[in-house]
Amino acid sequence: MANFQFIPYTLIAVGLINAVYRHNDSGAMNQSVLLIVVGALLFVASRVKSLQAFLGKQVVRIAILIIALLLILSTLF
Amino acid sequence: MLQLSSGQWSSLYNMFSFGLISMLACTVYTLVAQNRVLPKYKPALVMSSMVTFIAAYHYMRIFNSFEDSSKMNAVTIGTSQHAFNEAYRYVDWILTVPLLLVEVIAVLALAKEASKSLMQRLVLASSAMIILGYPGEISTSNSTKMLYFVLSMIPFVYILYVLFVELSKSLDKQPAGVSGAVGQLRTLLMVTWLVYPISYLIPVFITNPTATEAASLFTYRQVGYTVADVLAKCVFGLVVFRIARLKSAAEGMADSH
Repeated sequence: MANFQFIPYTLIAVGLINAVYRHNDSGAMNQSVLLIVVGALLFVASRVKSLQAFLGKQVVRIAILIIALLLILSTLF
Repeated sequence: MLQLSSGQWSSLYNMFSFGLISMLACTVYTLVAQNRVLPKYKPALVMSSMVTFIAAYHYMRIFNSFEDSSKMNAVTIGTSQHAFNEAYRYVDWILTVPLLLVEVIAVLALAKEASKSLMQRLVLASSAMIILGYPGEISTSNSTKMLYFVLSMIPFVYILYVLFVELSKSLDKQPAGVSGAVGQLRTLLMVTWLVYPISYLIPVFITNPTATEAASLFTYRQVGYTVADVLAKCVFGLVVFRIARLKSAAEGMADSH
């Protein structure tokens, strides 16, 4: 689970960096908030015991990784 | 607004793109090399990948911000739209520096209790160091800069002292051939981290600088921070990978890939 928590950490980090650099752009702020919220939810979910077995499945992890990458890529456009 | 010479502007443009590509290359390398170390050393590589990935994203933003704030080699500095704010680097550092320190602990693979205590102390000290450095970074007054420099140097010295002591202690416990690499890590850590306070203090070296001097100071500082970032994140990550590889080999991992 420790390695999985790096995905939400990265989402929150990228969201914060995006928010700081593009604080004058309201569209970018919405993207940043989305990244931070998704990251925070994933982090909380990784701490909930009943969800850990579900999040431990390889398919789920790959799906979350793809969603995280898409969210990060969305900040570039 | 700072009027840079075309040489200074190009140097910064190239440094930022060098920082960006170095971080990206390191991220890819440490990600694909995960299977070349034992599972217990993988977290150290995952952390290295994360540190360089977050830094790469940050360098992409710095690069865009620098281009966006420039017109005919004149750079607008500040927090407004289309301005370049060098203090934004602190957002990256507060997210990646604690991870860098955890990366060292992860690759040393110390006993669980010792790791936990060390991690808590280093993460707290590194956060304090960055938070205390920020007010000095954004201040235009040299006395304020010096005050926060001294304050942030307290956790800075503490971190280096703790790491130096812990890395030195761990040298005896390392398998044959690994202690040399841990020694390299210790030296790299000490040398690269010293570049940051030097870059921080660059604006203090000249009081009331002329426009030309201000442009030079700005250029030196950005180059200093970028070089330090590449050394402290990419080169450091590669040394961590080397230690993980050597330790994996010493602990019986076949050297087939």
